Amino acid sequence: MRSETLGEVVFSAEQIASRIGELGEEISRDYAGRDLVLAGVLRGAAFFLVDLARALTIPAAVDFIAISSYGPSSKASGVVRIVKDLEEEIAGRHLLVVEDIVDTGLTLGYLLRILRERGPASLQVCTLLDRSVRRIVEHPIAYRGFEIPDKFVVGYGLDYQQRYRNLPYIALLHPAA
Amino acid sequence: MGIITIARQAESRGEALAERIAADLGYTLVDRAHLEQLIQSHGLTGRELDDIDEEQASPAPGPADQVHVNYLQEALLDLAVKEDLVVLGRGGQILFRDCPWTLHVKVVASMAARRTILQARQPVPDAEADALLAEADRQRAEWVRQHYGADWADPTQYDLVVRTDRLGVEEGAALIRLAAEQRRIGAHLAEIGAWIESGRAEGQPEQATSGPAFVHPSEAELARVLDFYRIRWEYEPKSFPLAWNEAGQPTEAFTPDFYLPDLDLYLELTTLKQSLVTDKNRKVRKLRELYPDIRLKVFYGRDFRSLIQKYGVSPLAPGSATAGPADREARST
Repeated sequence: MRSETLGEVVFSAEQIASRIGELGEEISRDYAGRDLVLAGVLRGAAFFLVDLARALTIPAAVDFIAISSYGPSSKASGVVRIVKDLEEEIAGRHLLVVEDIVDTGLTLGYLLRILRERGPASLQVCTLLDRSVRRIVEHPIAYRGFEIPDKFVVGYGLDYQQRYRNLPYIALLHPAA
Repeated sequence: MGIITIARQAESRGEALAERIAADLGYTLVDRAHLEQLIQSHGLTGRELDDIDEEQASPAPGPADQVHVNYLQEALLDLAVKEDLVVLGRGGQILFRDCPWTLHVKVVASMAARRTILQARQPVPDAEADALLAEADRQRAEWVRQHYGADWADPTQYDLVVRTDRLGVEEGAALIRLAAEQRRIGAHLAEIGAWIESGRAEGQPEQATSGPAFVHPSEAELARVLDFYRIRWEYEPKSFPLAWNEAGQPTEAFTPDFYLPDLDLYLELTTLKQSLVTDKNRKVRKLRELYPDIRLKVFYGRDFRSLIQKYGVSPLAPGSATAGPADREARST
């Protein structure tokens, strides 16, 4: 029995597709003639990255990176670390980190610190959702799909207990009454 | 599984002894070459390894140094649950200090013997050779002091001291093998795993649990989150006077909960009732007026609860539309 319930749709599939189209145009323009690598942060950004890549009109390499998560059992695992690294060599190339959501900035801060050390020609961030109200570590975000308030949302890559990622839209998730 | 840590004076043949022990016992030697592989698997490169090299201790280590040392510790701990190890240097004797299935060895030799070894590779006058050796040892001691707050020269850190200019590598290795057998350090994979899982290794992030007495459990939880993401924090390190009496003494002050030195940012968390938030808001406004250069982020009630709950700690507040489900994957930050 599920204890939570899906709430109202925050961004429909059409709204998401439209915004990704705009982001694709913008990124294609900015990176024209450059050796672009899209680095999606697993697992949430997989859906966004795939659609974003298809919205580009320029060539781009596609890669993924995954890092460990904090959770109730994280004490034993100690500190954040890379679980799956990029396959692509990024030194001298233009790296665009693709996130599903940025809120505290803690994960992104770790990722950027690690990736910067590898000497990319440039390092920028593209996130579908930006929940800046929770921000602790500030980062410049070059491309932003939507700003969202401090609500718990699922769908289009965002999960709750590994569920709801496959929803084509983004909706609120309510706890049980 | 067992772990033998080997600290060594410069040019005391500690490397040769470590190689010999590892070969004799079939243990994995964790030296610089092996560490480079480990570090790369954690997303760092040999360049970062230089930053955490015990022979190149920074005069004033920065946050990046500590981050890299954390990687090193994590990599060593990961390995220790899988293989028998001979750990050469890197403060292994401190990291695994209280682990029962270990043998901590210090390798030393006379200055004359060490000088001879150094001069065979680097023909320099005696005085210069002595200075180089002393400096190398000083760097190692400084590295251990910086990262573990321990005294490298303290003999009580070691179970056994082996003097190679008297014993040589052969006899020294035999002595270490004998000590390892006596201590029965082998075949303890599960025990070492449990020991590491319990967070008892020195230097494992445990600031949140062993640090200050937090006023609210949520503060302790946030501290753990910050530790996880390798963000250094200080708890209530500073009070800012907001009002003064005629004698110039502060009559009102504000003390933010956390200071994040690497971000130069103060965090204030509040779970207060709304009626009490008004007074806190007034103080925050006043602080911003009086100290415009201070960067302060305030998390109020529901924002703060959802932030903490995001990391899967507290139960959901029933009916709270803004509270996030308790155990959502916290990666997407």
